[in-house]
This record gives sequence, structure tokens and C-alpha cells, in this order.
Amino acid sequence: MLPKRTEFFELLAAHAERVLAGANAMLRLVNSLGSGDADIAPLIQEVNMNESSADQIKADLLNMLHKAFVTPLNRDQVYALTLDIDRVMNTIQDVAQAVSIYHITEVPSESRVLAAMAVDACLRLSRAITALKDKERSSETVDLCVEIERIEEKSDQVMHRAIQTLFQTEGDDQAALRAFALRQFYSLQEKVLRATKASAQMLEEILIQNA
Amino acid sequence: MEGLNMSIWTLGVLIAVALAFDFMNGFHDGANSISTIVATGALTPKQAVLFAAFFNFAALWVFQLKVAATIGKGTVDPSFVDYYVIFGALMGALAWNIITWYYGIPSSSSHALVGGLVGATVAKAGSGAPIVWEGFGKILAFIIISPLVGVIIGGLLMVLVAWIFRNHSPYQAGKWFKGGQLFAAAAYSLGHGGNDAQKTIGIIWLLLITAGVATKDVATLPTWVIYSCYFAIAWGTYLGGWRIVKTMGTKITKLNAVSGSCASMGGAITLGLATLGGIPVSTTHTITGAIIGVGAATDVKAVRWAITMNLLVAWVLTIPAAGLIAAISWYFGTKFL
Amino acid sequence: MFSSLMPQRREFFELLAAHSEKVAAGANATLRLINGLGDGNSNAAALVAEVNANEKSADEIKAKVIARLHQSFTTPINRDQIHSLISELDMTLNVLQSVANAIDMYGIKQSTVEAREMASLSADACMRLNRAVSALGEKGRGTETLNMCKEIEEIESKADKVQQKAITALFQDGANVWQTMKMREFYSLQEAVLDSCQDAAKMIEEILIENS
Repeated sequence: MLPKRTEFFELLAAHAERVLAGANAMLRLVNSLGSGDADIAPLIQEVNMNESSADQIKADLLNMLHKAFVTPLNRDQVYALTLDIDRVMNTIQDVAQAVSIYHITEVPSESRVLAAMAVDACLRLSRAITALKDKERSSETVDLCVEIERIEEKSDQVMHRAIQTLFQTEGDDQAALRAFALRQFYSLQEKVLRATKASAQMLEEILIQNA
Repeated sequence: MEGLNMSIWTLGVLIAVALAFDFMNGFHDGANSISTIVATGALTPKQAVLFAAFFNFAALWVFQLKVAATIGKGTVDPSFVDYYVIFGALMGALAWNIITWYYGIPSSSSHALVGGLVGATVAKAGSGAPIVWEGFGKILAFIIISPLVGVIIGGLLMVLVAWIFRNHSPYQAGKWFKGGQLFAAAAYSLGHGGNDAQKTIGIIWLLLITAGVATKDVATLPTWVIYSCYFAIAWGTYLGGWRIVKTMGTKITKLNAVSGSCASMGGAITLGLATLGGIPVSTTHTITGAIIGVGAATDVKAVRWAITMNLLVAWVLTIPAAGLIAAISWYFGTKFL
Repeated sequence: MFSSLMPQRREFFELLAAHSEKVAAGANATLRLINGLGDGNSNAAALVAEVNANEKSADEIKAKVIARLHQSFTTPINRDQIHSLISELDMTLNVLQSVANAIDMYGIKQSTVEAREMASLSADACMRLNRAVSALGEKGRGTETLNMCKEIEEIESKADKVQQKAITALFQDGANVWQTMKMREFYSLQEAVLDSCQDAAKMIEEILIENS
């Protein structure tokens, strides 16, 4: 009837760790683009594997939330947080899959910066969630959430530059098609950062409720 | 045993039934004091029941036997009472307790007992003559007064705490209340043990007066009666009550460490005052009142008024229903026992 | 009965109102920016800076609200509702900022009739948002506030139609593919402002319903 507190937080932390691992694989994938001999298939595979194991953890968490009589945090909020973190994972998978869907063989440096920023944000998210079980560390969690929001803000500027470059010179149809594909790719990359920001805000809300 | 007015077996069985009623009371009501500390996670359910049971019993050393006296000699005239009446009273109270427990309604065992006693006595006398209105009237008045006092004290405590901690988040305030919550629950369990165990002591006292073993003088009451009554309620609390944890802690209003402490403390103060004044009140009524008071201060919509109404209905019904069952039991008792 | 004796903390309403004022000011600057595009004598950079300045001071108000939430035992409306509302309001201003900055990002030199119409609709919606948030603390003005929220939702659906018209025009035969791509993105951002206003309006409705 009463699940162990630790088990609960361990699952949340494990979930966030999968997301971080997925983000890492996605970064290596984006960095390898254009280096010629890169084999992207295993990297996409790695992202997919992390996504499916994150899905499993999510299912366990939701199951526990349904069954538990008392939860260490507000039930609805943990539910929302779990879905938010899962959304981060899904957006990462979308980026990885977009590489093959849009036939992206080469990316500008801004795209690599965006991927690195996504990993940065996921790293902080994972640390914030690990600190969550310890109420005394709530200021640390809040700081990490603020940092995630800062990273998202900075990524806006990177996006701005990337898009500006993309549309500066209007070329032929082939160039337009390439611009179109990259524009979609950037949007997906931006979505990863948006999703980490949403998770950070959810975390802040949880801390406020339990404050 | 010289001068014994009934068979030793009948006396033994009735005392056993009275203690069973006491046990049921703990089983039925004792969980109220732990619902908030379990809901807020201050103690595990296992620790909480042990905690509550201990303080139930500890009430033995705290309160005088004034409530027992009100039940034993202040509700009905003891000279009208025989063991059929006691049998009827206990059956009425027990049956009503089981019915309300089964449906998860936190009704009052105290009023069931008083209702049973009055019902069986009136059935025997055929009129209201043996009712001691001074005592019974007080009990009836406090059906209304005790929850109201609970509401007021619970609500005012909450307002006071909110002003003291106005610049702190509920979590920061909650840190101050970690000990406070346990203190409040302990006080409440003391009040519960004090008021409720004494009601059974009163019944057994009445039984012993009827049997001619004891008199209206408190000194003639054997100490084993007192110890076994406190033990029975503590044991009942220890074993019982997961069912009502849910109703009180989560259904009426959502409680956290701070509001839970204010509710328990409000209930404890009200119970303590009543016990000192020798007035048998319902512990259930009192804590429900305090929870509503706290709920009204923090968020009126948090009080689930539908469930509160449900409680009110059970309150109004308890004395007549237990009295009726007691009267019927008395009738069959005289025929078949 | 006891709730009127509790600490009231009206300052939360004041901070929310101050934030929504910044949103309305940002929407107004964005409108002037879009209306002035291409007519030579308007200073686009100054207007973008104005939007950014509003966004920045709104951020500070938001931070103050969140800090206050951590330092208050009681709140006039639910803690999570205050947090949600301030986040929705902040989101609206963030998207407005994206619209303003997109002009430089996509190198847009001329506005269209539809872009101007969308901009004035979002200024309208933000003004109503400001009025609704300002009235939130006053018990007697519930219906008025609720009506304002309904109006915001109507404005949003009007904007949907304008956007449809705009996109239809973009994809006409013989359109320049680059122009189409840029303006398509720009209209999406404009639409996002109104979506965000609508989310904020729905949040206000939720608060009103729960506290009525």
C-alpha cells in the first residue's frame, strides 16, 4: 500500500538518466554529420533504444502512481512531470529520425551548438531530479531549473542566427529545398529545449507546492 | 460473594461485553488521531497506531474519573438499572457501532452507548422517569456544543499559525510542526482515551452498583476495572481503524502537517476541557469539528460539505437508533435470558 | 468564516496585474513595429528594443512572484494557479518577442495586410488580458472578467480566419518560394501569440470558476 519513498525517486531519476543518454547519442549523431564516413544508423538505433527503455520506466512510474495510496509528492504533479520528461525523450528521438527523413547529410555549426545545448539542459534536468528526493536540496534544484531556462533562452539566439543565415541568400529550388529541410530540423532541435524548459517549470511548480 | 444480586456468570459476561464495546470504540475511533500524521507521512501507519494506543492508555494517569461518574450515575437513575438494561444498552451500542463501521460512517460510539443506556432504561420503566436530565441534558447539549467548540478552536489555531508564519512557505512552517504534529496527536489520543475509556468504566461501575458489589462512591470501584478499560481501548486502537483513516484524513478536507496539527490540537483542547468537566462527548464529533474549522480557515471549498452532511445525519440518528435497538434487545433479553 | 481572518496577501494580484501591463505594452510596440514596416521613417530597431525591454521587466516581475510564492504561508488563490497564470502571461510576451525579432531573422522588409491585421488582433487580446488580470482580485467583477475572457477567445478564432486567408495568398501560383517560406513562419508566430492569450484566458476562467 505504501511504496518506499526511495523507489519512487529512483524511478524518476532513472527516467531522466535515460533521457540524458538519448540526448548524448543525439549529439554524437549531429556532430558526425558531414564528416564523410560517419555511420548514422547505429547512433539512431542508440537513441531509439534509450527511448524504449525510458518508455518502460515511464510505464512503471505511472503504474506506481495509480496504485500508491500515499505518494511522496502530489500525485497529479508527478504524473505531469513524468509526461513532461517523456516528451523530452520523444523530441530527441524526433531529431534523430529527422536526420534520415529529411536526408540531412551536413549541418551548419549552429545546429551542433543547439544539440550541445540540449545535452547541457538534459544533464541539468537529470541532476535536478536526482536532488528532488532531498527537500533540503530544493534550492539546488531551483538553481538547476533556472539554468535550464537560461540555456533555452540562449538557444533562441542561436536559432535566430541559424535561421537568419538560412534565409539570407535566396538561391535556386535545390537551395530552397535544403533551407526548408534545415528549417524543420532546427524546429525539432528547438523543441527539445522547449521540452526541457517545460519539465524545469513543472519541477519548480512541484517545489512551490511542496514548499 | 455475598450480596451479589446476579449470577457471577451473568456479571462476567456483561463485563466482557462492555470491554468488547470499549475495544470496538478504540477500533472505531482511535484512528482519527492518527489519520493526519499518517496522511502527512510523519509516521508510518504501524508506528502511528502504536503511538496512539500508548497515549490512549496513558490517559489513565492524567484524568480523574469524572466522565465515568456522569455515565455511571448521572445519566439514568442507577436504581432502575438491572442487568437486562445493561445488556440491552450494550447490544444497542454495539450493533449501531458495527452498522456505522461497516458503512464507513464516523458516527459516535459515545452517543451510541448513552442512547443504548437511555433506550433500555426507558423501555424497562415504560416512561422517561429514570432519566437524570441534568446529566443527559448536558450530553445532548454537547452534541451541538463539542463540534462547534472544535470548529472554533481549530479555526482560530489555524488563523494564529497563519499569522505567525505569514512570511514562510507551508513547507518551511511544516518543519516547525514536525514535533508539533506528534505533540498534537499525542494530546488528542490522551483526550480520546480519557473521555472514551471512562464511558465503559461508567457502564461497568453501573453494573457493579446494580450487582451490589460497588456503591456510588468512587473508592469502591476496583482498580482492575479502570486498568482493563484503558487497556481495551488502547488495544482496539492498535488493531483497528485503517478504514476511517481514509474518511477523516482525506475525505473531509485535505490536511498537511500544519493544518493537521491545528486540527488535532483543536480536538485535543476541546476533549481535554470536556473530560476535565466530566462531560462525555463524542471524540468523532470533536475532531470532525476541528478539521472543519481548519478547513474553513484555509479554504472553504476544501471542506467536502456533502460528507460533512453525511456525518450530521449519522449524529442525529445515533441516539434514537441505538436507543431503539437497545429497547428491543432489552425486551428479548427479559424473555430469553 | 475564518478565511477572512487569515493573511490576505493582495500583493499577488498587484504583481499579476503589473505583469499583464507589460504584456499589453509589448503587444502595442509589436503592432507599431509591424504597421511601420517599409514606410521608411519608422525606427524598427527602437521598437524591437521596446518589446525586449518590456519582456525583460516582465521577467523580473515573474521572478518576484515566484520568490513570493516561496515566502508566503497563504495565497489569495491557489499557489499552482498563480504559478500557471504567470507562466501563461510570460509565455505570451515571449512569443511577442519572437514575432518582433523574427522580422530581422527572416529579413522581412514589407508587412502584409494580414500581418497588420493579426498584429492588431493580438494587441486587442493582450489589452483585454490586462484588464481581466487587473480585475481578478475583485470579487464583484467576476462576470465582467469572464466576458473579457470570452472576447479573447473570439478574437483568437477571428485571427484563425485571417491566418487562413494569409496562407492562401502565400501559396498562390507564381509565388516566390523563399517569400512563402518566411511569411509562413512569421504568420505561425503571430498566431502563437493569440493561442497563448487564449491559454491565459482559459486559466483565468478556471481561477474564476474555482473561486466563485
